[in-house]
Amino acid sequence: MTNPTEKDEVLLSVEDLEVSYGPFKVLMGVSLVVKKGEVVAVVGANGAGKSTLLNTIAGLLPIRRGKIIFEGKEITRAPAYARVHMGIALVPEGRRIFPELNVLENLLLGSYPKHARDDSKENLRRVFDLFPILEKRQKQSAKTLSGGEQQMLAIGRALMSKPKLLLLDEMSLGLAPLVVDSLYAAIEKIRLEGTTILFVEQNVRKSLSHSDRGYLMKGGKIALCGPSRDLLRERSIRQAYFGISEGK
Amino acid sequence: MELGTAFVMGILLGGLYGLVALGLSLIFGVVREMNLAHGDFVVLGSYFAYTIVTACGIDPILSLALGVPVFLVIGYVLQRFLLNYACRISHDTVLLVTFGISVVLQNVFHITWGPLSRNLTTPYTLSGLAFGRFHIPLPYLLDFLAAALFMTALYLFLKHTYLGRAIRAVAQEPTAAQLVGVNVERVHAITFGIATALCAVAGVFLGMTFSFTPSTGPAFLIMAFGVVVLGGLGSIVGTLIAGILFGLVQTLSGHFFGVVTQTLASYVMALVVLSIFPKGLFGK
Amino acid sequence: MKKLDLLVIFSVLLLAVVPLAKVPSLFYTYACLYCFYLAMANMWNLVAGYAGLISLCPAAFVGLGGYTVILGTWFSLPWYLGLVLGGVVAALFAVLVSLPLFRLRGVYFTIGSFVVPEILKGIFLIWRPVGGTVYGRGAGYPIQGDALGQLTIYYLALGLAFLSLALVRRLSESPFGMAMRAIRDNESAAERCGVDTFKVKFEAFCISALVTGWAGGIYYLGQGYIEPLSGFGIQWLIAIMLSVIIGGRGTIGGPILGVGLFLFLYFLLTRYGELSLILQGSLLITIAIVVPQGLVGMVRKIKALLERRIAIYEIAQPKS
Repeated sequence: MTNPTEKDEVLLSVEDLEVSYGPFKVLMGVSLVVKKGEVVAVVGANGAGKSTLLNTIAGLLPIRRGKIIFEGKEITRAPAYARVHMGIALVPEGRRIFPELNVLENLLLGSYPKHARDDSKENLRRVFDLFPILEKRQKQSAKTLSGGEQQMLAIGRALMSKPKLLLLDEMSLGLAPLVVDSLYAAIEKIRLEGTTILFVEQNVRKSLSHSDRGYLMKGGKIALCGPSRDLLRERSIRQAYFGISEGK
Repeated sequence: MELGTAFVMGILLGGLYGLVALGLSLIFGVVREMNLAHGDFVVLGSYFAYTIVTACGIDPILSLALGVPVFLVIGYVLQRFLLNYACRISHDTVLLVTFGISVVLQNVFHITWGPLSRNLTTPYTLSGLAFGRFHIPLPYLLDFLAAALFMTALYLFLKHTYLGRAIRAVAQEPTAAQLVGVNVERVHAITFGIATALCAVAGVFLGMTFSFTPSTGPAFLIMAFGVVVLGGLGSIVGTLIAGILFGLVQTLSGHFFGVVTQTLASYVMALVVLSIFPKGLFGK
Repeated sequence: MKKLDLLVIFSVLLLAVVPLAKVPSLFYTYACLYCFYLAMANMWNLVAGYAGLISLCPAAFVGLGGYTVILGTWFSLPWYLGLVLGGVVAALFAVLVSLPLFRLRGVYFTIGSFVVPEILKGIFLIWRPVGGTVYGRGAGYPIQGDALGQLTIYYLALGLAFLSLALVRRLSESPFGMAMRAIRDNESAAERCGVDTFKVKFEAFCISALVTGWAGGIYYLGQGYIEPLSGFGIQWLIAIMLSVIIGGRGTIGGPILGVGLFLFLYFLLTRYGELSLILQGSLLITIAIVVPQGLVGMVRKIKALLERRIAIYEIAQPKS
């Protein structure tokens, strides 16, 4: 049983975020909260702004208005690389592994931040335990890995920096269901080790089944939020995403 | 010059050309910029060593103890505080700015050291070693040794250190590099510094092999670019081989058509290489 | 735009009748230089400003135009024929060189275009087409026969400058101009829209070679002699680049203003030799970073900004 006060500690707080690509508004006032130890899912259709939200939290996109607060400190203007040193790690959409480097080099780069270097051997062990196939393919060039293996590599790389908050963008995109299941199993294990997770998925049912709380995004705004279990039962979601019609 | 000697000298010289191109390859591959003043930086290396040698009387190779760190800093500062901004405006801007730097450098050379050619000869550069039928002037051997040494050092650095891996990462996926905590701007600046330091090294050895004037720069730029295109970005070995090919073209052209055609031959080769590989060997 | 046209036509007419009055010889020198550089700058602007190709090639065409005309006199070719031929030779050379060059994009093209005049310079430093060295190194030749009078050069230069302006004007506003701009902004997208990018780049390049060749021809007719370091030298490129960048790429007024400023600076500093070039280089760097769109571009932006402010102000005014 976790300490009640620790359970409610807010790790990440996003307030009224507005992000635009040039003249196009993508995020129009998004607020969310992630508490320590939680797994939070952000779901929604294509183009709702989910990836933009994660990229902004990671520091890859400039903010027009709003605030991002991490561990009580405002990081709105912090550059992306600095946020990694603070303990935020993003596994981006498309994985973006380093193609010409081998698996081991990719992982070692994950421990580039100074605070992670001392424990790199330890962390490497943990990543290999989590994804044994990566250990097997250590010396292989990353571009020769399958899609699922590359995703594992990307997650492993992010874990090498000992993140306090792990961000996952469309982890299951383009992967076979069996592979996706193994990834979610890995996420469970990561969660059990105490890492807080915020992830974005198009697969609403799967993501809500594997998270504590969820946010539904529509058109650049938060449309619904609450405990994932409740959201799964929520009529509008079931109609919109599960194709279940209950009368009219 | 005997054909066999020309051949061997071409190979040895090519090692050094590979070194010149290596710096440009780093800039082009990692920082994704083109430095039109690259050749002039090599000549700057020659003049820098020349100043130290004439002032202190030490061996030009020893002057690198000062030259390398100074050029590291020059390159870092130039990238961090000038070219970085130029790059953000547009790629063309970097071309214009580095062209301007080239013009400035060449005329600074002219004012400071005059238009006459200089060189970095020492008592031992005039000697040579005999290998069977070949008599190889010592500078050529030193050129190749220096090239091999620095290329190996660079390879080890890129392969086995965190910073080296970060540089390779930035070359492949700059966004992902940011996401593992790499300060990409700083890496750009460090890479540029390394490239400039390599110019300092090349400058010393080239100065020991040939004489140089304020306007020798562009020839090195053209040749370095040809080597980079032929050798392929990201491959140290490829750059070495391409450098050797260019070296051979030069010395063989000198053997068959006379010394005056040497530079021209490398220009023509560069143009030919560009025509055959319009986007480089690993097209982007 | 219309106002600029009238201004240009008026200026040309004015300059044309100036010789009726007694004007110091220095005026003709300045005016001729301005016209040469303007013609060359306009042509570089055509390729670099409108089509987006940073070409480091102009010296090749200047030298070829000059050599054709001067060597022509050695073969008893009258100067006017030699002059016309000079441009044609330059254009033909451009055709030849386009084959390898236009397979290249971006930086690769730029470096390729840099190699070309260097190769020509190298060739002419070794090869002497006729006779022996008279001036400088390599193929240095004086003109055979009488040099042309200053007045003739003046009118030739004026005519060429006007032609270059008219060309840029006409081309930039035509579908050809739109195609050029499309290529500059995004070449692959332009291709997908059906633009024959090779043809457009090729034509722009060859036209610029033609006029630049003529400019070189007129210049060396006036000079009376030519040598490789001058004909294919990099000073042409610096002057042209600086003028267009200061003035504003891709604008009509840019080169007009830029060449003027450049010449002003040039004559101010000419006694300082290399220092002048250092300053030119530094200026290029500074302008490229601080005012990348050039002075004309900056003026346009300020105008647009002011117009927006005024419009917003007017909208905000309560209706009386």
